[in-house]
Amino acid sequence: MTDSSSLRGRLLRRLALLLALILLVSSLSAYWSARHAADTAYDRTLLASARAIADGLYTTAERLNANVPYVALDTFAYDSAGRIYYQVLDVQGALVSGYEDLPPAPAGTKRTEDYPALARFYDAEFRNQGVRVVSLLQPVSEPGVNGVAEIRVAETQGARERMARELLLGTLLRMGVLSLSALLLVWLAVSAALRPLETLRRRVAARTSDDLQPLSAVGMPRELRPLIDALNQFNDRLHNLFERQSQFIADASHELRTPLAALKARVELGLRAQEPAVWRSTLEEAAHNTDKLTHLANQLLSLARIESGARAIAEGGAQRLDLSQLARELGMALAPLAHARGIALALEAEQPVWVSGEPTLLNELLCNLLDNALAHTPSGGNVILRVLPSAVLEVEDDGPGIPAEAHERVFARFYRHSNKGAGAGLGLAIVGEICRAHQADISLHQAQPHGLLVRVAFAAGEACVKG
Amino acid sequence: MLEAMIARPGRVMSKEQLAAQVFGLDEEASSDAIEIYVHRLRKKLEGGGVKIVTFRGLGYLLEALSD
Repeated sequence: MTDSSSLRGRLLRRLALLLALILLVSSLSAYWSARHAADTAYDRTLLASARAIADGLYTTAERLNANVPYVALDTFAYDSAGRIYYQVLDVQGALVSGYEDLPPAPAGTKRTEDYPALARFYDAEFRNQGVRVVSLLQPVSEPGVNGVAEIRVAETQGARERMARELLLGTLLRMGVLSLSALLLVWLAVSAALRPLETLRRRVAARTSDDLQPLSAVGMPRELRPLIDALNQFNDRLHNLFERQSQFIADASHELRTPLAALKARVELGLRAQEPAVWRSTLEEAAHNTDKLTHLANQLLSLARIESGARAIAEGGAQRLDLSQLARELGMALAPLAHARGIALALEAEQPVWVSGEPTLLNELLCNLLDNALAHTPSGGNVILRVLPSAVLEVEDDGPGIPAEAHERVFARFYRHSNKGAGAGLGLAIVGEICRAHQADISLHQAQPHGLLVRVAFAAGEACVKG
Repeated sequence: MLEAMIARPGRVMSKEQLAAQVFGLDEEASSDAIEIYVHRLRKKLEGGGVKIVTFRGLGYLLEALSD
């Protein structure tokens, strides 16, 4: 649950990092303020010791003497970690009493402002240990001795450090407990917040495969609504797709049933006849009707194939194709048929025009358009296949054309503009579906002076790329 | 050239295909040259049993006349 895809893990890691940072900063500041508190407390007793020594100064025979009271050095007796050193210097700076090598205050040490005394506090090194020193200047005005005596009292840092350490440890412990409980709380809160997601997951998983009811957003947190909406939209699209497919199957069975019924009636009629000539004509008509049925079945197959082709394109399976080459190959293949029907077929393609698409689908598209044009052009007419550099494909005939008001309807499945053709009304539906799969725009236009011009414009971004 | 067209009866031959048959693959053949050849061939075939049909942009087809 700490992998990078887990919301909870991500949240906890970030929070832990932040808490660690806060812990570090506050520990530093806690240590610093603990040291300050210890310094303040211990400095006061240090100054008291120096004052006690100053009180014991006396003069004999014009010489300064120090009577160091035991209590002055006993101030720290309760604390075994601390050791006290002292030094008394007379007005000339000569040692009167105590340790002679106690270090003097570094130059520039300011006198303390916390106490009404000429005292300076400083840190120094004495006998290989860190010491805190107070230097107290004591004015002396006795017969024969006039000036300022200096009293230094030093104390090892051990006690202060121990005090600071204890303060710090206490702070750290409290902060650590606080951080851990914060993390625990976040863990619980995130788990509680993610529960609706789990509920949603269970609800989706529990559905039967054909249950496409929209998911209810009632009782779901506002943050999950967009996800539910998106799921429902996806559901809707699936629903529409299923509807379209079952509608198609219904239409297809209807289309197949009518010619089959006609075929059966014709065959039964023929069976009742006695003359061989009637049998023959019956068989001929049956063969013709079977051709039409085969054609219809092939077109239904094509439509089914487009679905998988469209899926292949959507999954990145499109290829780079030369439209001109495609048009030339198909034109050459269909030219003899056109000639047999007395139609002049021509190709106008100056240069390679590259588009990305699925080759069998594009071939199917072109084949259907040409078939349509050839079927609706009378003998002596013209059909022109045109490939324009702007990735536009045109098929133009000079047949009767289709009136503008019917242009939309011809793409519907099983729509027939005229009853004289042999088709089932699937040709242009197939073309429309292939265009949709290629995101190409198809439009019908009136050719001049008469006839139909079908224009298929492929996505411009995919064209013009030479390679 | 006639041979090339007879070899593929009922099929449309493009200028490029004809040029490859007539001149071989090595030589650079212009489509104008093919047009001239077709023109001459068509004249020679006049009155015969076959004729050459032109498909603009596509190529040529050798067709047997039925009568």
